[in-house]
Amino acid sequence: MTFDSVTFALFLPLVYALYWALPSVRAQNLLLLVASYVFYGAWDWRFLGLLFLASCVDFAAGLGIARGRYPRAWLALTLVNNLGILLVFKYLDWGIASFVELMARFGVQADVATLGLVLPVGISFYTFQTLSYGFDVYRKELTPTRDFVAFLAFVAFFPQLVAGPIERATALLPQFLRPRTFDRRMAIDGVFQMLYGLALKVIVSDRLAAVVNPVYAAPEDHGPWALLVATWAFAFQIYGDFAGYSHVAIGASRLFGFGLMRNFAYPYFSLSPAEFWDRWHISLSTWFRDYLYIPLGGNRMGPIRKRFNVFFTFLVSGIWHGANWTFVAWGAYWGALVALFPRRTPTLLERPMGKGRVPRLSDAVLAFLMFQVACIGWVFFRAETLTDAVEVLSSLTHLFTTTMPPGTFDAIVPILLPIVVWEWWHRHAPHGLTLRTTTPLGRFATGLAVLLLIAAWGEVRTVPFIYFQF
Amino acid sequence: MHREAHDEPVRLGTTAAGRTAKEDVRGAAIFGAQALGVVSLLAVAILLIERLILAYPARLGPSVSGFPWERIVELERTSGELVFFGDSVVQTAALGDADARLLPDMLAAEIDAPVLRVSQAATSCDMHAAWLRYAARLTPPPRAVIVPVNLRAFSPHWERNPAWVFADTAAMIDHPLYARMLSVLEWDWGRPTDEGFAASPVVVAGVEVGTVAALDAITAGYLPSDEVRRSRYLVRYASDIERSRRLSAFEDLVAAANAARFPVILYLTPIDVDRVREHVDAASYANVEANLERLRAILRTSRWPTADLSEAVAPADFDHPLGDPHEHLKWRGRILVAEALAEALGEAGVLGPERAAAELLEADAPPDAGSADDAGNPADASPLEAGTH
Repeated sequence: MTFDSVTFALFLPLVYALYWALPSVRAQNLLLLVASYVFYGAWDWRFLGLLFLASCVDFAAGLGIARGRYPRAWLALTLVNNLGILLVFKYLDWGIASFVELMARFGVQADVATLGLVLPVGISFYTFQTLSYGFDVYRKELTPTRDFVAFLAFVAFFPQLVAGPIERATALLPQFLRPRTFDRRMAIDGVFQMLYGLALKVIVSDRLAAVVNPVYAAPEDHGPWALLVATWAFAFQIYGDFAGYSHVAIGASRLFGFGLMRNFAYPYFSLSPAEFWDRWHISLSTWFRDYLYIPLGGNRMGPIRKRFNVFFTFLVSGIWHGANWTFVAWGAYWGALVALFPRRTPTLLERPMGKGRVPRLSDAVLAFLMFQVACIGWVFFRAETLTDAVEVLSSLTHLFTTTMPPGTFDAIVPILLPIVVWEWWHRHAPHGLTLRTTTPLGRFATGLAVLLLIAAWGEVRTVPFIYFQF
Repeated sequence: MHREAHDEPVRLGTTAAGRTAKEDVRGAAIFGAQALGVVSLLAVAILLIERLILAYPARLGPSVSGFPWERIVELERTSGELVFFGDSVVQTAALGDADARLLPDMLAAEIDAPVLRVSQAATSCDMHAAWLRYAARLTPPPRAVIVPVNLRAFSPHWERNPAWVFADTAAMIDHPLYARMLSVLEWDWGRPTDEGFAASPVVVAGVEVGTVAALDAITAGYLPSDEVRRSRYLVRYASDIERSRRLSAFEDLVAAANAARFPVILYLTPIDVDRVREHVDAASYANVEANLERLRAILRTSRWPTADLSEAVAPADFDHPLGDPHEHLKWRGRILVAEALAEALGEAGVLGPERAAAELLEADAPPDAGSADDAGNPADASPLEAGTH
């Protein structure tokens, strides 16, 4: 079941109605658990067992750590549990294939078959969420819960189960253990945030997929301008896809009285690599900061070690994204950039590029250049192989020695320009449909306008959410 | 935004406890009820906007991506006209045909009145029903509409071969925004995925005989092996049509025809039954007959005159490669269909009294037409007379 489906449009109101009809927190948790398992099982019910088993181990490990006897062993168990699942389902086949390829380079024909394992959807997200639970209990930042159902519901919470935001246990789990409050304003804002997310997905991302896919399917057949357009388009495709998903997840959670962390904060208005990562996939970058970068020594180390830590953290983040050398290169690329240019732009998350209505020229130029820097990274992210990525980048170096074909930008300008302008206008708000008007008529008109846009311009071809593969 | 470290651990209750405050439950219920009301209002608003789009298709239609507004404009022109809906059969003539007129033009000549063609390759009942419903809303409505019904459209082979289906487009003609919204929200309109289509079973008389991919051998081209040729006839005409979602579309089409204030002539498209008989075994051929009988049964529920031309055309008058059977006709086949449809139109009272009188005179005259063969002068068989669309 995906957020941009009729099934979900029926599922969500049904769960909402049942949820608030159950005034006891325990019953609500049980309903959320069942709903979440139905939601997940709609993809592939076979992996429900894996989700349940992983949750059981982490639940037991949390209690074991807190008991004080062999806490390291219990922590090791939760690490083996979560990283083991990731290793087997996500990386084993890639490791085997890479090994065979490496041997072949040395002239050795290694006859090792891959297992052909199917990647369970959302595995990278829920394993990281439960890892945070184990770490936090071990670090005594959180007391473990004894409520099994609440814990299972925390791991499987359907709005953010398959593609985040990756919530910290300290932030989300307590919400499962106390009565939820219904905040009408938050619920209305949640509905509009969901609408905005849906619009980002079906109007921006899915339409741009039609520009990106043919070019990246055979980059060697396309000239530098087509590759540039496809790469710019992909930058917004993945933004619309992932930010769109996050907005729907956060908005849907609000309907149930839950608050999830912000995951995107207008990343393409960033002025430096570090700021970009303050604004892009915030839940993952802060996860890596809290559970990898800081334990490695973080900012307390000398300049060289600190830079290495940054680089290493991004490298691991790249590998987290997918079992492919392109993601390793992507992580290394960003790691090197952030390590070399660690200075953050002194702006608040809520104020990208300052307060002014019109950006300063220098900021605008810097943001544009930063966008190009991000696009170089997206080439690695999108290309099927490293060879393809190198081919795209080398072709792009001939951009200014090749004549621009007429109508080069025709396919993307009608999508990119409105979204950039719209997001600039809303950049101080948590999402692009944060209403400035509070009158019922204003809300009705806004809702109608967005629905009409989705109906008239949403992409009809099904384009799966990109981050589901991670 | 996030804490770096905790001075105090976050203490969780051991178990979830407590009850949601009554005001929260009440607030959620009121919000839910209000949301339902707003959604209903939005639904009505969208419905009104849809009506506006359909009222001004040329002006507003292009603003809805993929909305077939050109077709709507074309349908607008059917007001007061005699109209021929159809698929590629009505919009093609055979290569080297002695008479290159299309089927609607031949009909126009037969009845001595203009016939407007509204056609699109691979359309079938679902699309034609939507066109018909649209045309029926016109003032004045069409004088009459002719709609072919092709047995092959009920075969699983038609689901994605050609590579598109029209259920979503057909729905957009009735509800441009709602239908599109459903498509955006991954509603598949019964359309199988590529893999699902390839793996979809071909069932003949209740027995699964293989998959579409294997039996229709889509990539085998026009000159396939004998085995593929045989299996193609089997898939396209002998598979159980009871399994086809288009059967209910056909029933909808008949219902739309019955509701129309003008005659709607439904006819079963000629299929090359002799070659089908040659290529499939007796039991499978019996299933072809059963399929046709099923279509005839639905056809009989029409309140207008109908024509069953499924077995009316000889193999030599079809224009299809032996290994890739379809229903395109050579000129003699088209004339035969045109004549039958003219008769049905006459029966429906569409043709004026002058035309009826002329027909009576023609009936008294000695028969001489229809003897020309492919090499003969087609004008002898079917005089080119009236202006056509």
